[in-house]
Amino acid sequence: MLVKELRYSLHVIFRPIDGFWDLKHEKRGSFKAAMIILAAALITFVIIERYTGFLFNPVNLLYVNIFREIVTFLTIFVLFVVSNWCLTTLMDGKGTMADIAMATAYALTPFILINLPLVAFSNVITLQESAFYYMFLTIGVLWTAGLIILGTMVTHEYTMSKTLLTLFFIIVGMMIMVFLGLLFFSVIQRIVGLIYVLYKEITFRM
Amino acid sequence: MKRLVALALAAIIFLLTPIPAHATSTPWQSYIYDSWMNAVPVPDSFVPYAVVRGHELGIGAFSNPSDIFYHQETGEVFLLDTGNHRIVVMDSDMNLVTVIDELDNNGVADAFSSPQGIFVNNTGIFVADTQNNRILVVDHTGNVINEFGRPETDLIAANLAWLPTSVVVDNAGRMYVIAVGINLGLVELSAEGEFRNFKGANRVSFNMVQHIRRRYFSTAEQRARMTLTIPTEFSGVTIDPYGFVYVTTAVGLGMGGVDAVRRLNARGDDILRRLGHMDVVGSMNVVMGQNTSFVDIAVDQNGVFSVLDRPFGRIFTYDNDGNLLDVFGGIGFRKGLLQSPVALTYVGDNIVVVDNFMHNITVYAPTAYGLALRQATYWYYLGDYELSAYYWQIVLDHNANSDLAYIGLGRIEVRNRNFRQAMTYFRFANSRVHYSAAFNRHRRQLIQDNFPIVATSAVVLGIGLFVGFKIKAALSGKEREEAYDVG
Repeated sequence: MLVKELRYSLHVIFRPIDGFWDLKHEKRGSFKAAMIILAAALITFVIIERYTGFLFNPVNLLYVNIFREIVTFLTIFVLFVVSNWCLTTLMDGKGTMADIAMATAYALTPFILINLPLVAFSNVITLQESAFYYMFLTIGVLWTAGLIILGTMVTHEYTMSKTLLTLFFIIVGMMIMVFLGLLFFSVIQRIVGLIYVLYKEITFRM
Repeated sequence: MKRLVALALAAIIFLLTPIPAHATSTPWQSYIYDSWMNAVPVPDSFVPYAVVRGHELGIGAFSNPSDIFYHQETGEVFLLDTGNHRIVVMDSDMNLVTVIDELDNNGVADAFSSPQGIFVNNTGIFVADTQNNRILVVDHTGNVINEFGRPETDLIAANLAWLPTSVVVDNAGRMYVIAVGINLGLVELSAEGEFRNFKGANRVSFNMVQHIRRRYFSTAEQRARMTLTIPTEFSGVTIDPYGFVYVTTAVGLGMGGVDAVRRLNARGDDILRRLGHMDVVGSMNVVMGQNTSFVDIAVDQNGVFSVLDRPFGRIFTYDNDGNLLDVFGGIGFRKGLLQSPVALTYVGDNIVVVDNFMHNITVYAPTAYGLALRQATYWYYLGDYELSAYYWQIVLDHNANSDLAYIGLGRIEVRNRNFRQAMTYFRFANSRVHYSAAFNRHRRQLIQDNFPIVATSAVVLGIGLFVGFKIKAALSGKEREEAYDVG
């Protein structure tokens, strides 16, 4: 059953409008399968950072921190889903939080399918053949982005123009959430600092 | 017993006291930039060797010395002691040879007046005699061989005083002069002192923000008071044995992006090779007020050149490909630090810097590391790759993070057709361009070596798949037929 739900992602990426509709209404995919795809995308992301060939990997491997990569990736995903849900709820979207998470996770399939072979490919080509590498990289990004747009559109039963507008506000919303998060941590830090200073002051005077 | 315990304690304290990992003999930290543009510390390639002052030579203190020249063929160093209107001639160990201050101009007594530039070849000593508005050619005893006044041309504004500050002479006797207020390039004079041309003017850099502000947001009055966007003047000039002129501009990175160092061919085109991690711009710091400002340049016969960064007293040395070899020096009062460096020259392996605030010259001598670094580049440049590899190994012994050494060793391995080893070196050096080239050849070699196996297996696999599909098709056809029959 799970295998069938996973294989359904191949249907979704080639026939997105039909695929996302059935994903939501015909229960041809599942939340469990979506989470497996998300985990695979996460692993792909780490593999790209770590195993892309030397010629195409500008990252200083000394400073690669897999934990930080994972947290970054998951944070962006969660922020997107939450921001999407917050906005579309206000703009009469028809999708629930689970629908959004599923559609977004299924949309990540081409990212996995293109990038995993590409990592291997990047290890056997030289800079002269770099055009092919960057072409596939771009295809992967555009495909995924297109699927996210279509997924949002179908899930919420929007028109295309409304979808694009919503996506713009979703990104703004993500930024606002990040800002609030930073503000929160900054305030907490100051409070902790204050308590620590008070503690020291008191211990000095005891 | 008590004393024994005390002694043991003292010993323990002594042993536990942290000792710096490297005892620096220099008052600065040498560095270079790695491929991520981080300044990383490297071993010292030069150490301060001597400071020479005028009274130590027995000729009275120098006054505002402004230029220095080393004549390789005679091994003499010529210091232009501007404030004392004289030339101090020394040997390569900085011992006094003679002083040229009284001139004999065809029987008439003559003198310099605040001369600022000096150049020596077998013809004589060329002096940019700034306040006398002329270029003088004199010999060791002060006899004037030749005198060139203001060049006759309409291209230099008549109201602009002719104040030459630097002069270099090429093998054909042509003179290239930097003069105050002339920003069209070097003034090229024939061997007879006639005006020939301007050479290699700096390009004007265009600033969009400034342009918009000037064009749309200022009144005519404001515009008149704004500074004009004009080419910058050259700050230093030197010439290599092949007749290529090197010029510096006192504008660092982040101040318009003008090429700070240029190598000019006969047409005035810039032909400096810039193949390093970064451009030849000195400091990568783009913060306002922390920019490099080059004032002088020295070049050797192998294309290695050093440029002097005046505000920070640092010396940047690059090889003929534009790779940064090392950066050393600094501002201060300790031996080896500088206050207001204005000129530098190579004297053999040493670097000599003139300071016109401290009125002295400082001699820097290379360390084993610095020498090995230079020897390795020299021998590679001259084509002796074995010797070059030997010196790169010494460099690595001193500095295991030297990108240049790994690139040098890698290029030698490429020549020896050890592409796998070369790739390893280029990877250490973080040089993707070199790595890609070596990898390309390694890959070709792999395919060529294994061609029989690869080709045979490909053919066998192809045939196998073809036959397999045929059989499968035949079988499934039969099944279908059978099913049909049954149906």
